[in-house]
Amino acid sequence: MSGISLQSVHKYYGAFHAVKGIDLEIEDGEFVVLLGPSGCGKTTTLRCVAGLEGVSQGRIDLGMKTVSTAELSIPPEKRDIGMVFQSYAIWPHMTVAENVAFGLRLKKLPAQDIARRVTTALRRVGLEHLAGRGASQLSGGQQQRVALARAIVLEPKVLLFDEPLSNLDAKLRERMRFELRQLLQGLGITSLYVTHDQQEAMVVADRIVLMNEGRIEQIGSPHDIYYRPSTLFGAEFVGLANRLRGRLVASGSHSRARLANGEEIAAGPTTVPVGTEVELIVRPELVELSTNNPGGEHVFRGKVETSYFLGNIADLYFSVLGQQMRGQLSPPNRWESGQDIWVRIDPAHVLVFPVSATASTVRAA
Amino acid sequence: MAIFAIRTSENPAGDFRLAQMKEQRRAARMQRWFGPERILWIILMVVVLAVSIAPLVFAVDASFYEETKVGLSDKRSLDAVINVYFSREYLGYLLNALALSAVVTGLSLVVGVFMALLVARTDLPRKGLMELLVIMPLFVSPFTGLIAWIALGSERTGFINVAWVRFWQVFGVDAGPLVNIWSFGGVVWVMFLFFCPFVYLFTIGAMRNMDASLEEAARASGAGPVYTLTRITIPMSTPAIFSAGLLVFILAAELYTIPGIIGTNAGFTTLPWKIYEDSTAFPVHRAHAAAAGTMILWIALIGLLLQRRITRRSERYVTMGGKGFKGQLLPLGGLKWPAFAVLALYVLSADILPLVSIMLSSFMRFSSATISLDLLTLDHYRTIWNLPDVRSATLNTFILAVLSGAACVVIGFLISFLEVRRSGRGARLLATLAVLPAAVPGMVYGIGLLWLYLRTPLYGSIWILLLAMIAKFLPYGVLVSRSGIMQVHPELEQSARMSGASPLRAVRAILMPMVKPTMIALLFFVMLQSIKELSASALLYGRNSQTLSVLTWHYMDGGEYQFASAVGVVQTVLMIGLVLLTRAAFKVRLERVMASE
Amino acid sequence: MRTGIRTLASMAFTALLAVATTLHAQEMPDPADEAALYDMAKSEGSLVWYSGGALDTTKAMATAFQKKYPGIQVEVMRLPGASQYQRFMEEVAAGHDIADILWLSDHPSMVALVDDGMVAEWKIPTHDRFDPRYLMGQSAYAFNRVDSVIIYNENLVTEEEAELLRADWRNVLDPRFASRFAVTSAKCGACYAPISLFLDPAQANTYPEDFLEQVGAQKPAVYGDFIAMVDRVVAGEKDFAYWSFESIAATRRAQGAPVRWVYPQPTPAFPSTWMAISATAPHPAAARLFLNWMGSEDGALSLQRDYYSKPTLQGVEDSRSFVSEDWYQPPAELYEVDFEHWPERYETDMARWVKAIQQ
Repeated sequence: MSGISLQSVHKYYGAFHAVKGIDLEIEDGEFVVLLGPSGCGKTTTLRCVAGLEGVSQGRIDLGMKTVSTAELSIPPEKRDIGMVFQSYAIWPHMTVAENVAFGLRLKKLPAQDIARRVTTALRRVGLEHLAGRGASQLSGGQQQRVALARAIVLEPKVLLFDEPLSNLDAKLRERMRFELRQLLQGLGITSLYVTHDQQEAMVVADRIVLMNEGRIEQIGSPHDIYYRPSTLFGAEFVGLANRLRGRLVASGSHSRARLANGEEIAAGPTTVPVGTEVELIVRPELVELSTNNPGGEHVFRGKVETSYFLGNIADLYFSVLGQQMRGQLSPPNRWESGQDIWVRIDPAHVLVFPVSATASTVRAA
Repeated sequence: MAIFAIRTSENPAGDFRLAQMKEQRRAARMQRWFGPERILWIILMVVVLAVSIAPLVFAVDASFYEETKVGLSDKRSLDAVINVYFSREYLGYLLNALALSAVVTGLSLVVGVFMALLVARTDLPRKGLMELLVIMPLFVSPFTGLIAWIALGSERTGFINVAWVRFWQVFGVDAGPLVNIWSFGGVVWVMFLFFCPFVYLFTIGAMRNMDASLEEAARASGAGPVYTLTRITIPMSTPAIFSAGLLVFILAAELYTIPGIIGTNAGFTTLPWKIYEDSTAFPVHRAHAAAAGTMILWIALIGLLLQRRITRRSERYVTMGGKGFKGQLLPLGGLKWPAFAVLALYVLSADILPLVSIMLSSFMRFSSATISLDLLTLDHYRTIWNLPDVRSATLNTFILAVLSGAACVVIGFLISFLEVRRSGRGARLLATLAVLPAAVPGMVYGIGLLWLYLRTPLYGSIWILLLAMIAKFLPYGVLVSRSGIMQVHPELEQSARMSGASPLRAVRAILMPMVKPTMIALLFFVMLQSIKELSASALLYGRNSQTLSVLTWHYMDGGEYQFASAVGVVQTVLMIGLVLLTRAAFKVRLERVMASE
Repeated sequence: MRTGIRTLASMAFTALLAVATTLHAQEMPDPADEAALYDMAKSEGSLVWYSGGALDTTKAMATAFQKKYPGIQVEVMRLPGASQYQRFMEEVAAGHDIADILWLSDHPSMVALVDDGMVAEWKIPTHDRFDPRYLMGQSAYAFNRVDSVIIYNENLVTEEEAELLRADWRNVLDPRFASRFAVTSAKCGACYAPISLFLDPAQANTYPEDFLEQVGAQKPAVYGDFIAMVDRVVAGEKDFAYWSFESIAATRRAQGAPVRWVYPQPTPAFPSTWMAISATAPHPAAARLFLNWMGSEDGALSLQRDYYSKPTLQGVEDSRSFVSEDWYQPPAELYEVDFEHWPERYETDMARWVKAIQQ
């Protein structure tokens, strides 16, 4: 097993600059997720690691071995990588066992070894009983498992996943996340996983690499990515976000911003200079709402516009500070439209991002 | 590279790695320029240039010479081109050809799409049989079909009219003739019968692959079956319908036999017939013929480019064995049998009547409106049995069919593979060049090939015919295998690569088995086409390289319609035998797989 | 680029031709020395005949020759229309000497071949028994003649009507024939013969200026293909064809078709096919032997029997089967086609004809 190292990797398709300098070190045995909206270059990056695409610039190492540079590309079959594709890519003209055994047969292993390893791999994914079935007769979830078994049976140094769960229905998708995570923790294979689904990323990842427009926006643990987004993009892409537009009137560990309606609001720490146009981001679940004035600072008057009962939470749209905000409350008490409420916004939960500066560092101290 | 140098200089192990990298880089460069796929591309390019493009260049070039009474002189001249492109006469013929082509295309589209809809999306009865019968006309050469319809549909003596008039006589009614093939309508009718299967074949795949839930949504919104088919299914298949229409338009615009022989009777001369006259009748106008050929070439080229644009827009990967949702077929209800009747009428006109007519002819001493015992003879078949020419022509036909089929499959697959899987400008160019001859009238092509290979030992042998057939049918090879390959999701091969397979291995173990049915169907389709091929063969045959088509044409040209019919029957039997063989031996249903674009 | 190749090839060819012709001229025995010629021909073993005629009649004649001269295989390659001249010229220029005997129906093409020295001179023993109009010096021979006839379906045309048509070409304008007959717009040398008669300035008194247009006004059915037209008369679709050729009509009748024909007066007689020996024939002796045979009474018999054609060899009895049938009347008066003005008039005259019938 080995780590993966990407050093200023660029990829052009003609004039289109798909990947704009990715630097990433993945530890041995680590599970890293590339997360981002479609078209952000995450799949291209993955395919570069796989060797299915050449890199235009930069370098990719697997363990101690350089596998990709602008001039050189070790073919995928020589990289010792397993990969699970979005379409599963199960060969319909083979049985389940034949699909899994394909790579072992190429290695010309003895027949018993092949049988043993195929059985083990199928048992791992819980498909032992379907070994003899034609691959075209499988359900989506089963195909997905076959693809996984096929990838792990070769005991590769690195496993790559290209949106492996996106074709499954919601329930199955959720279950597979956990199974996948458990399986891979057991195997301890270095994994690089591409998805646009943030919840999926949160569940499976040791570290998340947030990508946008061919660049890395942020690298961090799921917790960091969620609570300490380094960019406005990150804050908005991961989780829900209320946006308040204002001008910074105080900077530093206790910043303040003046909103369009003239009111001032206290915000979290920032190094953005005073006077800058800023976006303030508040997560809906961190907004505190009450029917009575709780007293103290950072409390504003508001009015409920609409509310939805979602079972575990209540989703609430209300007006405050001259604009609409959204809150998610648990437990889901009953809220009436038009009801007067008190809104408390804890400055520690108000993230400050300068307007029009995408990659500016606003890191909490 | 600067970044790389700095990094390595910081790294104690860097020197070694630098050297290793340099070595790898050189190997990589070598691989890129002289890798197997590059070499493959070069070989394919040479083949395509020599077989498909060079004859075309020669054929076009012929329009830029001065004409003599008997051929071309050595002097360059623009006279012919100017004469053809700016004369009212030739432009008139061109307009005639375009008008005819448009009418034939329109009719073929209406009926072909209708039949495809019925077969693909509805619960039409006897579907399995109909599927095969509808494409049967592809296995009969249009020339043979024309002779059959002359016997069937002549105003006074056609079997149909004779039967019609006699039928009414029984009731004491003096009925006039029912049909007249010697008219503009007759030209359209015969051409329509033979081009309709192309529309059917090229549209049914799109309709079959369509997500049935779209139709079901329409039904759920209260639409009846007819409304659903016309407002949902047909619009969804527009790109396929458009391509089919263009194909038929091109084929119809370059056909000379049917419009020439029966169109003249209706006072209707088309450009292809004029080309035929210019190049075969005294005094020949070879430069004019070549220049007029380029006119058709332009039209075909424009069509081909349009088609490429439209299909490219619509080309989407369809995952095999994926979640393709096939829903219920539309129940036709009370329309079931009327719809079946329309199909049956087509099958009657395009398959049964011509075949019966041609069979009858083959037993007759001479053309006649009525059949009596003393008119019948087995002589034609006896002659066929004893004539060495027929035997050698059958053998040649068979050899050519097998080889051209195999060549088109292999070359077509390789070209499409490069185009679809290694999408680069070079691969696209290769595919475009290989498809180009689809747009070239066979006659123009034959002239070019003749000039090109005149000075080689290939001349006069069956190999020059083979080249012509490869060039002519390679477009089908490329297009059909392209759609076959496109249906195999590239990730299927990529996952083989990830399992440790080399590129070649991935193609052999994954792609090839998956496209095998398509390729077998393609093989037999090309074989059938080459058995029928006449327009280029008639120019290229030598004394030891006659084919059945050429032989039929000789007898037809010499007035022996009945003997020609007998040879035509042999040819048709051979083709139907091939179709049945594909079913029995390869379990491949030609009518299904060919229609899976 | 191709011009270069073509020029080069034709230069090489000319040199080759010079050598070849002298060689052949020296080698060949006296045309009358049949035994010596046959011996040489046998050692060559075969010959290739490019024929513009129908495949089966050509084969039948080839078989007749083979029967007379065993040991010489005749390979027939049918090249109709203008294609024979084209193919032959291109082959020779490219150095492919394949053809021994050329047999084509286009007068100007043969003139060109003779003028360019593409065909060999060979004085057959019966040379002097031919009218000079059927010879091009000693280079090309028209061994048979095509007479223009009106072919009619005997079930549809009465004897009286046939008599009318025989009497005069102009009688086709009789109202009773309107819409009953077929014509062709096909362009071929022999098809042109009657047109050349109608438009012959010397005949202006007989045929009115607008005679072709008057024929067109009779609303004939127009066929683009000569053979298709005759076939439709055979089947009874049309009552008669306003001219076909004697040999085609006779072939149909021999098959049992209900057709007869008349030779309207005057009957254009036309040297239909010209035969010659390629100057670069790969089997020169066999080719010469064949030409001798075609010009002999034996060849004339074969032309009558296998081709139903009229030999031009003088002093041969007409042995064709239909001659003895009671309806048959040989042509009374011949019109000799004017070949002098043929090339310059052909195209415009044909164009006028096509326009007249398609009105």
